[in-house]
Amino acid sequence: MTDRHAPDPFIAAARPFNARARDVNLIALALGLYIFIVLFPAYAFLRIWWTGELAVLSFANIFTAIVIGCLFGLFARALIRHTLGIRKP
Amino acid sequence: MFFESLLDLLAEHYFVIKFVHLVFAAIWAWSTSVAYSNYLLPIFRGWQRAPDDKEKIALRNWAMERFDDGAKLEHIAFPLLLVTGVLMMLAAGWTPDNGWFAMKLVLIVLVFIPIEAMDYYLAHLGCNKEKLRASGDAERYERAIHLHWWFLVVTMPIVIASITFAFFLAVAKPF
Repeated sequence: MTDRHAPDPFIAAARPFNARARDVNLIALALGLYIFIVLFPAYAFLRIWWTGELAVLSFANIFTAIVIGCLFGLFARALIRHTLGIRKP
Repeated sequence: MFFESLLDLLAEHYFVIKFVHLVFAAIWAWSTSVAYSNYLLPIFRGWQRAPDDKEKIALRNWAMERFDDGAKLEHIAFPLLLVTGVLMMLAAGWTPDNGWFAMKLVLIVLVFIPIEAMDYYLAHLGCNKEKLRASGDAERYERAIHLHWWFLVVTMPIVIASITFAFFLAVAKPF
């Protein structure tokens, strides 16, 4: 027979969720860089491979990728901090 | 010859395929949003504020186990979305010559598929909380809860931005 008053091991094993502001900053930086270092080059490679044109590597496109990466990094940082309840120091 | 006949057949049914694709896109994109924002998120925030509160821990565990189950619709829709996407590509003759299509391919391969692969693992495979509870391994269960919460928190901004952008690319075809 099960002891209904026995402590639930799945509750006893619980530990606090430790999220530091520094970790969140690194995650946001990685997410922003992912756009510029992975997504944009993959898009450029696909376009160049298929069309044979290098127009995708124009200054305007590279600048746009950098700006979007920065904005997305900031957005990710703000949203993750808000979700995890990390306040400004 | 066979391939050309297949393309003709697909082109003939393009709008039906597009309709099915849109239905699965909607299920994939939004089927967990209410559960996440109105149940999981407030429950986990409550637990983060009071990490030793037994009632909050029990509620957290219950919510995450239900959320694993709730992700089934999303995870049935995703492979069907990919299949109908390929059919649409063949029917319409899209290639990376279309900038919007190249961008969408990149998002699918380098954002959506890796996220969904991890999500399948967390919700239904090695980190399914109900299975871990049945195994009796409380430590592994706790690690799975933490990993899943990190995953949801980190992917939330990605999901918001990339799914919205994917819809924009598909509808507006801006470049």
